[in-house]
Amino acid sequence: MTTPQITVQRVDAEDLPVVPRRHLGRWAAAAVIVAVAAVFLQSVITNSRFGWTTVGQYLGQVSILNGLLNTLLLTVSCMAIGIILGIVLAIMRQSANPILRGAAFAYTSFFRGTPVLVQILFWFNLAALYPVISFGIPGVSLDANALITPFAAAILGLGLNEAAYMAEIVRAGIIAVDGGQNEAGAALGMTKFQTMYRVILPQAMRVIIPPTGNEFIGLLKTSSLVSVIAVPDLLYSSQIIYSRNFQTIPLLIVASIWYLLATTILSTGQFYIERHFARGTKNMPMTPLQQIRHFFRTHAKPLAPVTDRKKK
Amino acid sequence: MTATPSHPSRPMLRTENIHKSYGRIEVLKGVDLEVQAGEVLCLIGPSGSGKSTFLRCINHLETVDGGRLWVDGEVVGYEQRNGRLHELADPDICRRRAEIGMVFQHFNLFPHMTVMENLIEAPTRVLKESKAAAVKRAAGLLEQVGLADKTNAYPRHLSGGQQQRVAIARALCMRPKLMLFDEPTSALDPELVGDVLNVMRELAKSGMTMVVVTHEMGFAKDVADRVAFFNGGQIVELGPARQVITAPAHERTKAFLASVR
Repeated sequence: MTTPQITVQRVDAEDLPVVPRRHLGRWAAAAVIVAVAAVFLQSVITNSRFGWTTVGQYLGQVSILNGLLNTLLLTVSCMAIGIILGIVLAIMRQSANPILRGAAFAYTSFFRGTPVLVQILFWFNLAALYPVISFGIPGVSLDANALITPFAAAILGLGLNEAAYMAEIVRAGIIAVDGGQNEAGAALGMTKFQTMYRVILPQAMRVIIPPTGNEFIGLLKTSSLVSVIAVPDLLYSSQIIYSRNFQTIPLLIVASIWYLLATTILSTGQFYIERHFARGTKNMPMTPLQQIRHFFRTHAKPLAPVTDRKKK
Repeated sequence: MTATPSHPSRPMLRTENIHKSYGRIEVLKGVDLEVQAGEVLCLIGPSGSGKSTFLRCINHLETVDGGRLWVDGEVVGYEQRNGRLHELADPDICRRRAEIGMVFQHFNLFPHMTVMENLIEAPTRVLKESKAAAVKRAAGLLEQVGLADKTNAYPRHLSGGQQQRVAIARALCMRPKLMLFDEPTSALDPELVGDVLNVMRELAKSGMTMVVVTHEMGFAKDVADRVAFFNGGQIVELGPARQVITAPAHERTKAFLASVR
């Protein structure tokens, strides 16, 4: 028997340049997209009905900026109500007491089950249902018409509705945390509140933040519904102007630009909050600066040998 | 790390006729036990025999259905008033739990905190110690478990053995009177078990009162003062460690030890 001869061709990797694969399909798709974008851009520039000069004229106008401020104020306060009430509802859902559990469940069902526009109108017309509000306390008697201003109705309608959604988001986050964490906190003598606040919620945040960012952005846009009850938000302020000068499209563009800008800022904030709560996990997202560096690095650096897992 | 009880003649742990059921399944059918201060007791037995449940009853992670349980002379989870046992409110249960350290099978470190933050969380929040004092003691404990260089690491960057040693240090940072171990090495790679057992061995030498649920018969034989064999929710055999493990008296103990060897 002759031993088979195996020729091993040794190559010195450093001598040979690497030729990356060509992706023809990707290039074709990119070309189509660039072409479509060019046509669209051309129409945006040449179609005078976009009214860009009018847009520029109204973009920084006081009533528009006031509207923007109202929209932001409404969004932030409703989200605050939503988050706080949502956490309370989520914890109630975990309670051993069936009445607490049931109440939280009923709340969520009701507010998720009816359109938010209907809820806003309901609050706006509360005076028709309860002309005098006493909260059942003797000696307290408030005029519902004076108490429920359009702005108050808007905050109640959007905030209470938001709480129902936030409750489910927070609940999902709490459920996602390993049960051993509760026990570890308890075994160390931490109270239920301390364990929830210091151990469970910070970990639940990783699951809670992304959909909450979604909700925040959604709420910023949904808040435009309050234009139906004449709250001077961003949309309603634009509507007032275009009902006078009939420059409908330019003013809707003005509103859209501000909405887009606000949502962009919110998304950026969300990114950094997510990064903060990702500490101690493996998926630490890259900051834009890191992403740019990563983009320009054509070849991945060889991974450093993992030494810290090894025992000394 | 001293484990002197408040009263010298009083046992650190005493249980009387502990009963516990989950629905219709009776997990503990009357467990009587006494553990003296400074003693190391290992609980062995087949899975489902109730040893872990019993351990969790000691710091009230599980409520008991019947019987009584004292840690250092205090009834755990309850208070005796007018001939009745009243379940304590959350803060009182927490105060008693703070005196009992517990180490879990799956470590249960807080993953969003560094090793140091894990250690000082409870001392600063539960015992209301100053951060400086807690950090100082924590650093000493990390040194003892051989992880002084991991102070600022997050748990997921540590091996299982290292995580479990951090968990032991975290429990010790509360200066407990009694330490409970719930299968501390069962979730570890075999090569990492030794480090954790060595830390526990040192702890036993220092005079800590320990109750350990374990499948490490070698550890039980060498380190424990006594071993209790659980079967079907009861202690079938209880005696000096070497005697129970090398020369068991009860048939069921013999069968179990033969099967794990």
